[in-house]
Amino acid sequence: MAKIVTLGEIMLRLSTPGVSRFVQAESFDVVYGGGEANVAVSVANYGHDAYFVTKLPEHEIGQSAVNALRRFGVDTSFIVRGGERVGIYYLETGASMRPSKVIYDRADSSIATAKYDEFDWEGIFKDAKWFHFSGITPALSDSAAELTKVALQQAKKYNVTTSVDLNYRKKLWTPQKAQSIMRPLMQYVDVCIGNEEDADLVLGFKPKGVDVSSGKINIEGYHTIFKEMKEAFNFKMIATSLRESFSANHNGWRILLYDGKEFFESKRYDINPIIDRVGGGDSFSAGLIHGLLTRSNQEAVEFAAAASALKHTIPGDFNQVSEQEVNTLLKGDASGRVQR
Amino acid sequence: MKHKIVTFGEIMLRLTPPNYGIIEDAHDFMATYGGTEANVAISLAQFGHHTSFVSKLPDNQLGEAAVKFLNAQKVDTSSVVMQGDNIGIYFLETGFGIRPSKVLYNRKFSSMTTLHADELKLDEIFENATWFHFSGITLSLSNDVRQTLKKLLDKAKSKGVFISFDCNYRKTLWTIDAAKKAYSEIAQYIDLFFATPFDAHNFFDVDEKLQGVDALKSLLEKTQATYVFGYQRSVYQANENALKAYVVKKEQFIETKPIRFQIYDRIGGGDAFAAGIIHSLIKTNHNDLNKTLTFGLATSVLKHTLWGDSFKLNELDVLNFIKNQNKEVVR
Repeated sequence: MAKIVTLGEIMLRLSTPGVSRFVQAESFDVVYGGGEANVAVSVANYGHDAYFVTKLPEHEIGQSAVNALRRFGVDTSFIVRGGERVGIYYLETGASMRPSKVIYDRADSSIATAKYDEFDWEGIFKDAKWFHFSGITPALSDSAAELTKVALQQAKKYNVTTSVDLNYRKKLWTPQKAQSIMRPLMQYVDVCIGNEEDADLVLGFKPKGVDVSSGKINIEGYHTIFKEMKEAFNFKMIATSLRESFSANHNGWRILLYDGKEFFESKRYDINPIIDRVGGGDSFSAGLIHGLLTRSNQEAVEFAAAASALKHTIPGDFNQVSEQEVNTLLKGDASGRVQR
Repeated sequence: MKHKIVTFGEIMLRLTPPNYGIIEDAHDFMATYGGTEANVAISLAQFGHHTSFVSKLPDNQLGEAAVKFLNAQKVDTSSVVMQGDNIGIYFLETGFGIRPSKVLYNRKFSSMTTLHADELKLDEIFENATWFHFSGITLSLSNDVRQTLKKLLDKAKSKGVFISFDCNYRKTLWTIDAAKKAYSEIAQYIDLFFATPFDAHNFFDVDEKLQGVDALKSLLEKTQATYVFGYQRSVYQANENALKAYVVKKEQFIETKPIRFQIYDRIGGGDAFAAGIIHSLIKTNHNDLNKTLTFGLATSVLKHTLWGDSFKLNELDVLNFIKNQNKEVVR
């Protein structure tokens, strides 16, 4: 199994019980999560040596975030401790036609104010096989953008394969700002994960003559877009999830991968009901990383699709499934029958 | 007898691990809302006063939830500004026995810290008001808040409003030096201090050689204030304390006997004391300090038996407790 490094922010997630609204909450369920941390936990569950790199305060909430990672086998020895705040996000889970709502309180968190020279880059990337980050991390602050760039340069220095989940977050930055930071980072990226909307907002990439915003998923359109993206940014691979949103708790889900020569499309999953879709994209990234490291490209997309479909059935940010459980679903058993 | 009482400060989301648990073990937090001046406003509303809370909360569902919480406690929220992104949070680990309670703040960048006076309708706020209360915690929040407070104090003074100030120094929010500067700038506005000899020495330049009552008398002499109220806490265990209350007015000094009691939730005990004193001073027309002190202490002791930040019983409950300290069932 491989050493896999992810960099980003882990936050305290406060979610209302069940599907109640914020104004009704008499308590909040507590978990810790964040894009890259979710990926680290998920690949740790597949048996990899997962390392999560961040900065967290020394106080009890910071320690709780470290504990949450350790609990699921993520190595936290390169987490820098200091600063004052853990980022927080509040989640109200939607139902039927009412969408989920997120309120962020993460400005000036420890990772947003961290400097790149606080980290032990040699220890982090020595013998590593894969480095993953998302568009959320450089969006946190100018120093976090610098930190991300240095991490990518160091990863390349140690010959580590890199992946990005473009993940545009409009509450963190504007498309103009995102493009000014993200476009120069793409020269260090091998595998790009994101749909055409993210590519437009984060990279300023506008496909020529293809309309994929009509609501119906147009696979041929994606083929054209991915070819153009590869040309523009020289990615080795490009992947996206194809989500069909029928309601807050009923989605269609499949994965598309382009390796520069061929396209690989997974089986389509009908996910109904969705228990918790937060972290769904991260579980896809994690499944894809594991798949690409251990299987053929076609098997990799099938694994990523099945793994992330399963995540939608689990509360919390983390994908708590093993490789065997994903394999079972891959073999076609989607019945949900009790396994004894 | 309706007096409009205005309090000014921050209300926060309070998150507490259940069952005396610690933060690191928590899978959920019990949620309520609190903050010293909001707690005082809520208690005074239970005593039948028209109380208006002046503050700023984010323009999102969390801010709305805090407003709804205040509305439910009969506090007037018409002067709460809704703007900005973040609600202040405090995490509370409830102590047990020899293990003390712990508070962890996450409030540095809250909406409240960005409040400007021009967001408030000063004349409306003090229309028919007779009392204004705030604490040292509000002074610690930000420069903007200190400027805003200065405007509120000027307006209150010009309208002849009685002003009370709870020193409430929090060492996790600022240094003694920073607090001293801010406290000295507002000292001359204050009619009633909630203060201890520690406060007198550290924030108001009272000579350290003057101890106890003498330190408090010196604080009165140095300012325009009429009263210093306060209490002394003896801690036997995290959930067993005793309180005795005192007041200094010119040469007069009155002290109660201590009351020893079991604690269910001690947060807001000082705020309940302040509310009890304010209510009783108004009710007795400032004419019965013994009664006022007894009422303030009883309100505070009763608060310690209630979950959450604020005192939610009424005047009769306090009077019954005073009358009936043998704890029989009230019928």
